[in-house]
Amino acid sequence: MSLYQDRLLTEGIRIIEKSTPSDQFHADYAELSFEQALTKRTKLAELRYQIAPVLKHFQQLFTVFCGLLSILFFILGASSVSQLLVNQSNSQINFFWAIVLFLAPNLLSLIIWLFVFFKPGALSSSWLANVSLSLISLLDKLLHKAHDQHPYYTSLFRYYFEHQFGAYFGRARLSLVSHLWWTCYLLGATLSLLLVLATHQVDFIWQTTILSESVFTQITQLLTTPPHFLGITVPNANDVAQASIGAINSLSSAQQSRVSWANLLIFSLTVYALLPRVMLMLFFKHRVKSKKRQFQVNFSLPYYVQLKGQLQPVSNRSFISDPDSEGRDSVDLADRHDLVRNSRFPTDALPLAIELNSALLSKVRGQIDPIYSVSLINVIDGQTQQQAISLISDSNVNDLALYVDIKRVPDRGWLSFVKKCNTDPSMMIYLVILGEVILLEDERASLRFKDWIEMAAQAGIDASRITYKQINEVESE
Amino acid sequence: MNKQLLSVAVVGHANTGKTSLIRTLLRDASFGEVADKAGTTRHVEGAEIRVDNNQNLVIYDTPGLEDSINLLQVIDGQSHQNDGVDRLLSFIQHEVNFPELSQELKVLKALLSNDIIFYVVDVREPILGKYRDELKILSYAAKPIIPVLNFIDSPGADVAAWQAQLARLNLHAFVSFDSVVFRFSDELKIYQKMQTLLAHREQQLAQLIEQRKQQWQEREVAAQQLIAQLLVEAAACRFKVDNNEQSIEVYSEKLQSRIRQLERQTLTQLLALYQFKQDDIDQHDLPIQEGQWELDLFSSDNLQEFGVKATSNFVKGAGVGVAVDLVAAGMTLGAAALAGGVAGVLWGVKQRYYDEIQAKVTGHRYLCADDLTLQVLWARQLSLLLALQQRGHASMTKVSLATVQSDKIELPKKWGKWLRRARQHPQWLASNNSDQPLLADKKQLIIEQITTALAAISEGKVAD
Repeated sequence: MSLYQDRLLTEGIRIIEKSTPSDQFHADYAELSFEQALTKRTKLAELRYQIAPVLKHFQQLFTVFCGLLSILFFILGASSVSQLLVNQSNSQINFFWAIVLFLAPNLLSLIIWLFVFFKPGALSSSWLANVSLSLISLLDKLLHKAHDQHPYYTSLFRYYFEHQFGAYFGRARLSLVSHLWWTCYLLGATLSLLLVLATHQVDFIWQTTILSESVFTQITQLLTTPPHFLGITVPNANDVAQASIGAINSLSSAQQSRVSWANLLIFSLTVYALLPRVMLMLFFKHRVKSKKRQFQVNFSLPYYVQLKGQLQPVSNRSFISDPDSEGRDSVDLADRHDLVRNSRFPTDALPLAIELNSALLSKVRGQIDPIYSVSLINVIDGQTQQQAISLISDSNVNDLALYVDIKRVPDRGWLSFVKKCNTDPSMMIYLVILGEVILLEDERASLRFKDWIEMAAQAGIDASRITYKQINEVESE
Repeated sequence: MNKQLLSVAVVGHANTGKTSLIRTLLRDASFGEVADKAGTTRHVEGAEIRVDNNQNLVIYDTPGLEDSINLLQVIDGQSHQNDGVDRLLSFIQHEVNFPELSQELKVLKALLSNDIIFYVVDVREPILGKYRDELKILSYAAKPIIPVLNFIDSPGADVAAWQAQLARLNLHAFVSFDSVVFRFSDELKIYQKMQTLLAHREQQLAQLIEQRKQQWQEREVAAQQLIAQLLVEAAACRFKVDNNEQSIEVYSEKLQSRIRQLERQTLTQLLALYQFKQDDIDQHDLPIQEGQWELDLFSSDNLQEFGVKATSNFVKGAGVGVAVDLVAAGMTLGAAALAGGVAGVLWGVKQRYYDEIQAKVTGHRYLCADDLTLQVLWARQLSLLLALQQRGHASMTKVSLATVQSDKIELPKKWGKWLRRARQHPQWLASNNSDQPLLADKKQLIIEQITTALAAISEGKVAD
């Protein structure tokens, strides 16, 4: 399968999956570039979607369509010549009228094609594209009645032919098609002309009402220059004068004149009409091939950006490198909001604040220093921790009152310190959690309160010795 | 294949947002566990950020350094060697003696085994002794450290105090980052700081930066295309109704439902694009007002477009005429060319306006979304895109579309033209089941124009 077909399949899969790429096609895409990964995914997805036969069918349909119309145009070309030449009752052909009929429409259509070709977007959404599409649809219905078995046939049909006649391919493809048809038409005409001239004897004449003989002489000279260089016998000025109606040819020169006029007619049709069309057809055939080679999937489409994220995610794996073997210490706690209004604490307890900010500390100090016999110590680092621990061991206190801010997250550092303080099993530790909000009204504070209760439980502080106090309560006590 | 790995250990105190930072860098809301409490992360968990086929950046999440005061005392007490690394190694050798510091031990091992350390700081916190001790322990590892100041946009953030404190410890190369209110430029600064500190990995990091920028841009363009497509399809959405109240009411509801469905589809795609989930958004229904659009064949816009079409079809029609002449061997050359031209025009008119003219003749109307509805739709998508771009993957709050005020959003200059074009092409929305030629290239052209306008709006916001 060529790269173009691979890419077309990828696009077909996009049409089927619409806006969201399926994540069903698992494979190891990590070591590949995105395009390679996409090709691999396309191959996997194709196994499910089976698009290739449908696309192949469209391709064949297009070939049949072009082929049938080519044959039709060939027949038209051939029949137009026979209609023109065979039906002449007096076996005379008006040479210049024949030239005009063969060359002028071809030239006019070339001019129209040039105009449309260089007008951006004109050819890709032209009537030719729409008519072709309608005819292909009709042909499809006539030839393949079982085609709608594929569930996405219609969308794929629409995509395929839009792709063929659209902005990327349209100009080259439709140019190729139109030059191919004209080639067939002119080929039919040329072959038919050869056949007619081989089997009929005709005399070539010219007629005019408003032009002079010199005009025809000049046109003939213009037309005969190239074949003359190639050594082909063509009419000269004398032949032009003799071909005028009423001129009398001698029998010997008449046959020579017929051959030279026939040569010129065949040469004109072949070189001035057929050859340019063949060359243009070959050029656009090459162009279509080159467009196929250059065809790129538009990776900036949202579908592909999403797919890239799927196939090659930013984070392609996560892993545990140092697992936790202990598990989290959890304490089963019921709703402990009843602890909010717990009992008063003994006044002989040693008060310790842990990591209170200066504003809160000053408020608390103002209120509780008169209550306790010892001044409040704020533990904020290793040094103050050591001071507090020394004080506890030196003063043989029975009770310890810890003041914490509900905004602080209780951590193992706090737990470790409290455990160090709790050297005497008989010592009672009380916990006062300070906050600014009404606990039941603030969800975050409520959750943090629960964290403190859990941590206190791990430190061996009984729930009956925990209380929450609003700062203004502290101030008013 | 042996990949070139660059590894980062993300460390810090408990609940400073280490896992949130990694989630945001990975664009992966499923990484690790995030909760507003200490000790949520208990493993050392790693994840790879792909740079290319041969290079990855590995980021390790670590448990919080919760008991740093105790840890420092133990480390310093355990060994009196001058070298910090030796002190840490000595502690690790005697790890069995300190089971209560098992979590901290994991962090120390991560410090020693990775190339660079991100020290995450919650700038809402006061500077306490335990944080100073953490930094001292980190300094023992002799690894480059990038302090990441997290939650800088939160109330109570004291960035200046933390900057001053870090400077005192010779940590000047810090970055500001908010894992909840995300800014892509902040992420790039992290990698740029890494480049400065890891000179021997400069090339690898340059590639990483380039790759991240490309991904960001690709995602943004794709998102803008989705919004543009939504606008075009919503404007193209229409229903043919009988000219009576009952029919209009029934189809108004259908129209609203269709527009909502289109918006939901886009929303889902945008969320997928930015790797968020449906739960991350608090969606309010789009306040659709029924819009009524009737074909005005003689509107200036219509006439202009019709004029262009007519000329074009005439030329193409003349081509048909030529072909007819050939068949008839030139007998009707001029007449057929002219007839072909006229046929081409009529073909174009039929293709384009048949439905509308038929509706006009039979007394039907077309219902479509009105300008205001589309304006609201546009405003909501702009707002959503901005919210998604600034949302960290650890954010717990939902993005809300309810507060969008559409009248405060300036509309692009070609807004009206886009809407008119889209309304004239019902075939651009598949559910309209229009049999008109698809003209997909033309639709794509409008989508590209709208995408360009969105890019300009986005650049303006970045510049602001």
